[in-house]
Amino acid sequence: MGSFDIDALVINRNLKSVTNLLIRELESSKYFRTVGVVDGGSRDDEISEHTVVRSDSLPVQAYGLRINRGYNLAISWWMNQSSQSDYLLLLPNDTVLVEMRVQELIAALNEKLPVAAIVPLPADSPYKKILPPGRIGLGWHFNEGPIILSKKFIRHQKRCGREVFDSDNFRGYLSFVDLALRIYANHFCMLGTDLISFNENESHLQNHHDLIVTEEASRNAILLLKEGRAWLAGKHGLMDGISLENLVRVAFDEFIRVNPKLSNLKIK
Amino acid sequence: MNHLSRFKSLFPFIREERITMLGVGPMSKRIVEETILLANELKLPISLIPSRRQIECGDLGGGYVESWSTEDFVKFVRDRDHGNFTILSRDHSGPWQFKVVDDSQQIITHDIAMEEAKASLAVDISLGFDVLHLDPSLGLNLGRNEIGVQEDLIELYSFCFGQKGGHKITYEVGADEQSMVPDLPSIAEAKFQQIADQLRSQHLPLPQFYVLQTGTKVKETRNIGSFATHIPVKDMLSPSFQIPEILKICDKYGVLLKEHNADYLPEDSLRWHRLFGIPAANVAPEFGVVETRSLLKIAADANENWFIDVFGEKVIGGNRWQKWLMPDSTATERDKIEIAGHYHFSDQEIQEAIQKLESNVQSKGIDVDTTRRRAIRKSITHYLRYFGYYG
Repeated sequence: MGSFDIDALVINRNLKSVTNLLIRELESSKYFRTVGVVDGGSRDDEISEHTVVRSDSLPVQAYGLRINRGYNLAISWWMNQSSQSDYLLLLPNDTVLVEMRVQELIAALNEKLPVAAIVPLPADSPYKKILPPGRIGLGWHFNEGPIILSKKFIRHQKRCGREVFDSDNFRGYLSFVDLALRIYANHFCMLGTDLISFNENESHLQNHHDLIVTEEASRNAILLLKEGRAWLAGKHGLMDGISLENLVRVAFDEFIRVNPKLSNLKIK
Repeated sequence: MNHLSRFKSLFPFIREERITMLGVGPMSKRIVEETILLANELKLPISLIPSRRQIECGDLGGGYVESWSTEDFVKFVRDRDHGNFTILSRDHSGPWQFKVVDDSQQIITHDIAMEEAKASLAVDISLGFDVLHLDPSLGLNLGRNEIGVQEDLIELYSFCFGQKGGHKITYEVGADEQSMVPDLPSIAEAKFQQIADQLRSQHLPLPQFYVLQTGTKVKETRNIGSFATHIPVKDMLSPSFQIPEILKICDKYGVLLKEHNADYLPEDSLRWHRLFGIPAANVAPEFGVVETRSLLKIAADANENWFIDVFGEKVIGGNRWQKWLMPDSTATERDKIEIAGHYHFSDQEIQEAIQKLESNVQSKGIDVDTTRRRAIRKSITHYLRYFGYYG
């Protein structure tokens, strides 16, 4: 991968100042060609001036977009632009920039890697300790958060007539695992790295969940599991998350089997 | 057929059948009895997994369960285990695992802690324990570094092999003391490689079981690990990634994964033990909690609230519940009694209170002993069912 041009879109809901701070950080890094905000039903005084697209339907005002619908709206706007970078970084506004070693990421990426997604690992991720020496590794089991998507994969999914993230999975239960299934089944790959790294500022959810119009953390966790299981059963006919994860693991192992030269990139 | 050959002949069968061998914490006499009965009814091995605090040799003062010494405990089990299906599996044997401080509240020196561990192990071996789990990891909190802890492990292993009959025993190594720190597969492999190299250099065989984290962690009366919650847990790996990876490592070295802290896992997670192929898993405090709850329910249903007061005062005052609490715990007094009640079953005062309760409720048609046993049996059977003991 000789060049690595990338755009960034931040999902905002009623946290204008937090969002703008993140935007300024991203802009000052000079790595992004386009930086913008996708708004998921903020009230008027909390809409960032960097907003490029917003959804303010009544359901969105009531419930927000959450991660999957927010990311899908961002992707949709991005793909409708006259030109795009090769990659799109999507991130929630409660993200704190930890590391931004883009040049090293470029150097670490193998040109032959069929990259669909790169997941920046948070500073406290246990996976950081088992990344291959190049600080980038193949995996399928990442938690939801910021993600970099390749335009190639987004186009592939568009040709399949579907969104990249499942909008029916409202709270994003195993959303990245679900994505990994489509990635590996389509002979793309998913990478984790700490060369670009973000943390989640949990205080926003803890202290401003009423402003963000979401539930407090423990209630959100209960609903994530309850609604997530219903989504899982409806979509895949599976009763528990481990069943989906196991399916994805098999698809991943098959990808490694048919790409043996990439096995040294496996996170283990 | 003696116990050692029974275990070694039965274990391949349960591996073939993809049964996860259950290890039961002997939290009370009734739990021990029900375990033996179930193993003999099913004609399949179930382990009893006493820690040194629960059961300890007479010379060191015995444990808190029934005030049994190891000698008493082994006799109790062997006298009842007519089919030899009950596996005696010492859990967490190593320095400081019996006690950390001496009578004057001074931390026991490393030398003394090792000598006590060896004395305990020597008795275990002489009494025919089937499996010994060597775990010197408490040293990490008491001034030993990782190299020192590995040296302790090899020293204990070598000591056990030097004992008469020590070479016939099945060994288990590893620690679960730092349970919230996940076992990262490649790091776990590197550590095992170091242990294996040291064992080979001393011409000692590899252990049969290796304790590795599978995303389980017991606090209060629930399992808070990632294998239990089914949602991402900060700092913990996805069990669907971690478990297959560590099983591959175990296969590579010819050792078997032993899971600790499987208590309170939801049914989905229990079902996956067989599907993943986890060879063995331990459950301990949950069975004690179940028995305590059954006692409290009998007393409440029969309006014998004096029992709850007497029992509760003893348990709350005993402070054994403290180590189980979450840092931000909202546990009520009732929760604490349920968490730690079993530590006090053998206290004289509580035994007398239970006898009085039995006598008081007998006229109401309640059989305390039977009710306790039913609760225990139901709880153990729950695990056996998911672990494949019933086909």
